Amino acid sequence: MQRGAPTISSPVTDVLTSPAPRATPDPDTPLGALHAYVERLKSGELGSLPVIVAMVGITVFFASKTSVFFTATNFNNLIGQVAGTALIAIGVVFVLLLGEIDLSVGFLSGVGGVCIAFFQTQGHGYSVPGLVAVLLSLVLCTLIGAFQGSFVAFIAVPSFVVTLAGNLALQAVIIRWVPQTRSITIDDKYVNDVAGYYLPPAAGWLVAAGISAAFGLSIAAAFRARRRAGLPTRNLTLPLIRWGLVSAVGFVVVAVCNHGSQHGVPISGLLLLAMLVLWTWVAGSTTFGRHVYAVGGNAEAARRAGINVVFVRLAVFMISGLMAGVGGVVLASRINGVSSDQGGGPLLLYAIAAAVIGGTSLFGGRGRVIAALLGSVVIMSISNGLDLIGSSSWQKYVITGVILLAAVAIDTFARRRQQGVGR
Amino acid sequence: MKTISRALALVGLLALVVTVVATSASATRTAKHATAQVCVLLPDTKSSARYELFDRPYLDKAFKAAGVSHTILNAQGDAQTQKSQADGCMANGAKVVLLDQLDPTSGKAITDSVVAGGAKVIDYDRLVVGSKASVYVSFDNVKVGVLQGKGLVSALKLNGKYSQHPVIAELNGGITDNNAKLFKQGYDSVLGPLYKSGVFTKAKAGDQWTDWDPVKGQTIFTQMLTRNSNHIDGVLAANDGLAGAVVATLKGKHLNPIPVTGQDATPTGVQYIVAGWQSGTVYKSVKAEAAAAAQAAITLVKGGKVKTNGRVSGTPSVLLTPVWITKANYKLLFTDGFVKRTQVCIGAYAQFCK
Repeated sequence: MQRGAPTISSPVTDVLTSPAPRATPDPDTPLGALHAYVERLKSGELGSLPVIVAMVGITVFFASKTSVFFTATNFNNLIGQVAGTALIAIGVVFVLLLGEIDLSVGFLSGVGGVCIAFFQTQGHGYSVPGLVAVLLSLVLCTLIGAFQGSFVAFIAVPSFVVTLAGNLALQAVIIRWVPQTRSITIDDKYVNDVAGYYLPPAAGWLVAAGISAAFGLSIAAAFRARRRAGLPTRNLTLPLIRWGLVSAVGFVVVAVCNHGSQHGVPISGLLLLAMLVLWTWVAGSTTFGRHVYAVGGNAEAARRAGINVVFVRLAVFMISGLMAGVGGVVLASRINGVSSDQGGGPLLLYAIAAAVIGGTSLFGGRGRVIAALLGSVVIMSISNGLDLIGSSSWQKYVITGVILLAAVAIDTFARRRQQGVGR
Repeated sequence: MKTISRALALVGLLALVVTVVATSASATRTAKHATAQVCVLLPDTKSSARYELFDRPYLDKAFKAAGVSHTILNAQGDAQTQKSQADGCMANGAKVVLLDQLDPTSGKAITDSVVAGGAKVIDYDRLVVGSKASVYVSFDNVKVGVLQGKGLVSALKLNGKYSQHPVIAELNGGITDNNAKLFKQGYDSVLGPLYKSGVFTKAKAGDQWTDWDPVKGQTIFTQMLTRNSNHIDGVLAANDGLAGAVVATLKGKHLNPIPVTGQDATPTGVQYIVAGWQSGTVYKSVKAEAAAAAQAAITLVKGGKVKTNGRVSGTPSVLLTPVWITKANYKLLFTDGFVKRTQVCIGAYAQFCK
């Protein structure tokens, strides 16, 4: 302040003259990142914390009840049990991000499975090799998703109604398509291998090393890109820690899978990982992904910003259809065929509950693809653990329902906190 | 300064990795001893109440008496769940799995994975045709169907309609259920010749396979009544649940009772029998079936060979004999402890119990 200058008091000068705020630690350092994380928690952005707490709780509970739960064999089993539901849940996450719902994913995955089973059956003139049948099935499921999405995108029919109608229609299609014997066996080795094949241990290590190398390269590439763009390159400590964690997790998972009685990493697990990486990249690092979050947050604002809301809506239901189809491949592969009830049972509820429990908001605009995996792990580990200790089915349903309710309650509560803090 | 902090970061990273690997090593320990030597995979609760009402407690008691550790699970009609339960059984170290399949495809897949894991499969009550199962334990299901067919014929002879070309409706069970096919084989062997010779007339009908669902059965039977102008003289219902659906439909339309068959000797079925709405039911002592299956499982666990008395579709089988229950001999159920008198002779039905 210059001596003798007039002392005008106003908010602007107050800001200029008030003492500098205490410096928050640089979020690029480990300590700073931790501080920023705690601040986010306090303001209601809980992220995956509730799910991880639930996971730890479930593991501790079942490990205390049976010595078999926390073993390599069971871990490997769990991957196989999670894969189908989680793949479908990835599609559900996208739909929920828009604030819509897709009630047809259960039987849509069933239709996908039936399509594969039908086309790979020999002797009726339409037979094709198993993998071609898989491709056909994925195209079919995406088209069905597009068909349903077009009602939502072009005519603005509520997605609840469209997909509910789709659910009924697809169930009828499955009953009609599966012939009189009411189940079709899949003989194709490749299709059955999707859920039945485990990588030899050496191959598993190669995959873990490959993942570690790929992740390291992506960090290096990002670093170099920033350097080339002339931007200040950030502290490497955090990315290195992240790389170390990812590599460690990769090698540990392979070690555990190799140690179990299945002697290897399941293919369905690798498929799930590949899909998670792909769709996380789409949701987080592409323009389309940003548009999805924008439309989900506020469709009208997105429209005025020039985003093609109709295309986004259509595309999201196509993604939902596609992922239901991918999940359908895994589910059909698990039982080496399809029954007239393929895609039924608790599958639909588990897929949607998985996305919600994992942290996707039902109101749209918030959520990450990884939620599909986290929620599926919670649900399937409850089912897995209760089966190991021989509990009745009703306990499974009650516990899963309670956790789903808790997840939505936490999400709603966190949302209110966020609004209070102005985020 | 920067190099030191970076070096520290790398050391910390290494320590983290080592810790994580070390803790996960403890997770790689596999269970040293089997926590359940025998695993029972029940199919559902929709097709029949017997699995939770009778099979579970009888099997539980039999295994406990023999000191064999066991787990009893119900897949609630979902093939994916049954596969997961089978995987859990193998992780628990099961030596024998009692499988009650949901459909032939998943049944075969589960049998294959269990056998590949080194355990033996006993097909309990439902057969997976051509699978790697060691034994099939069940009632002679063709004999069950024959009893139903013969029971319907004698009921029609009793009420005099036999010689008047009665119109007969059939409500079959679940089309994926191999047992349902065997029952049909049995009653077709009795009814077929009678249709052919013109003694009986077949009711006009569409799809008569009910998935063992009484609600579906009611819909199908209502449509049959409509198509046949309410003129149906006898119903071969494959089980008591379906018979109950027929009785409810008849009562709802204020029609007179007609001969209806059943199976499973449920309390409701017995009530209808004593009240005259149902002609009879097939009594399959689940106690005997569970005892035979448990015995087979215990024999296999101890490494012995199971004594079989037949072969069904190539699988060595232990086949038990069913009994036809009518108003004349229903008290046998009470003495056997299968149904309690207090479950049947209550309310409006008390007057019928002599």
